[in-house]
Amino acid sequence: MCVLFILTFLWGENRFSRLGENVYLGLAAGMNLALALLYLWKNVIQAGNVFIIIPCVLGLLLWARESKEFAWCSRIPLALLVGVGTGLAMRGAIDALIIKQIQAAMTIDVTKGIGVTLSNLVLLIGTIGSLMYFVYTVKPGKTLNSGARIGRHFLMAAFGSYFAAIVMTRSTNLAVILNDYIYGFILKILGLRSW
Amino acid sequence: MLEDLKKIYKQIGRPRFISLLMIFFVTIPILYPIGIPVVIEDHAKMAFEAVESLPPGSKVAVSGHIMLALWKEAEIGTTAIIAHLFSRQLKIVAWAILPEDAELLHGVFENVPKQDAKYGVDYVLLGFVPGEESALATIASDINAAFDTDFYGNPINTLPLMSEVRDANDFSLIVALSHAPEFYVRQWQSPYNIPVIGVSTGAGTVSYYPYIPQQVVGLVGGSKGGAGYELLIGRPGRGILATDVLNVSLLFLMGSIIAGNISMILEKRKLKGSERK
Repeated sequence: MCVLFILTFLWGENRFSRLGENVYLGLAAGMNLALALLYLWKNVIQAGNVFIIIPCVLGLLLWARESKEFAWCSRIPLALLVGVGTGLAMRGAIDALIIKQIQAAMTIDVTKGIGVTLSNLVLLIGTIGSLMYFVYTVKPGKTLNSGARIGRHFLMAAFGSYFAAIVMTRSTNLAVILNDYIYGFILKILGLRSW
Repeated sequence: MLEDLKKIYKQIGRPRFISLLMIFFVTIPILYPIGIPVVIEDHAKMAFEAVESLPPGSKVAVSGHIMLALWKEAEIGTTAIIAHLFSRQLKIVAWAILPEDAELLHGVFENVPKQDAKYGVDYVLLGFVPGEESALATIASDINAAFDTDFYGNPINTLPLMSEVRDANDFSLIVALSHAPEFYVRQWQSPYNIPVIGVSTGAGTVSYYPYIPQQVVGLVGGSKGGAGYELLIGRPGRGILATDVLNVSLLFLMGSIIAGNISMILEKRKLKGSERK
């Protein structure tokens, strides 16, 4: 029903589309809250794992931001989150995200045929051009401007392909929603598909 | 017919007209499957070969990290790859790092053919663990630190498969149902050298490309990748239907874009002509 209500948005915003959106948001928020509480119930209360109370208290301290008097308390868990997140991200980031990516971009393989070689060359030119587009610390000259122009075209192509991928995802979602929830339901009621 | 369409177009406006046309074109292959040939992507072939190369009995990790809103498309590739893992007699340890994925993976395990695989011995669904990347790091270093019980409430020390796995080094492969491959590359592939196979929606495939083929050894991307994988394992299913619909809808979109651009060019010429007069 929510799907049908939200699809009525095609005809313009109406009570049904707003009802569908609000019910969907409420369900999503409620489900996440319920699952989080279930996790706490199973792993703290039922399992008797008292130490998990410490991160629970730190999580609740984040809400202290709402109070002017105690807003400073929220800095402690926030600092912990940022520190842990950064530390985890740094692990493996230098090797996996920087060194290996540079190696892969610089490699021009001449052993697998002219197609692969040209493809590697295009990748290298695109990478350098895109990086030159984002250089702001050097006075722009002829070389930088030419490289940046090439990089801009590669960036536009990349954004275009990303947009196309999103359109593909949305089309598939529409197809599956129509097949499963609307046509499937109608066909099952008419007896043309099994339940 | 054309006059009726023009009347409807004038009454409801362009955006609604195009949306209705889109729904019409999407409906045709659902009700009357066309059977447009599916081209199997290279990345799906690489994922298939990565699974085929594992000897029976190898342990494979499956990590659920796809939002519920995107699940319908990712389910195609997920079902295909888990069916393949069971058919190769590989042992599966699955978990979720988003709350809804535990239930979604449970649904997949219920419906996929398991080839006599026994729960607890050949496959385990561990459930949800919060923390996303930090959860992945914890599981990689010590799986028992992240889970006390499985999804069904069984203590994990009662499950025979869990006595064979302690950390990432005990796994031969990780299947990441995710739009964030960098988490798996940072926490599993780079420190422990565990190959990663990605399963994502069409939109998520773009984030995998920088890591293929050295860090991510295969990708089942979107309904197209899922359909290709279904053909590779000899089990055509929802992916083929979805690809049919995708082809028709994208042809319609391309036609709309081309028609829009042609009409824009003609209008500009008309304006220039009237200005000269």
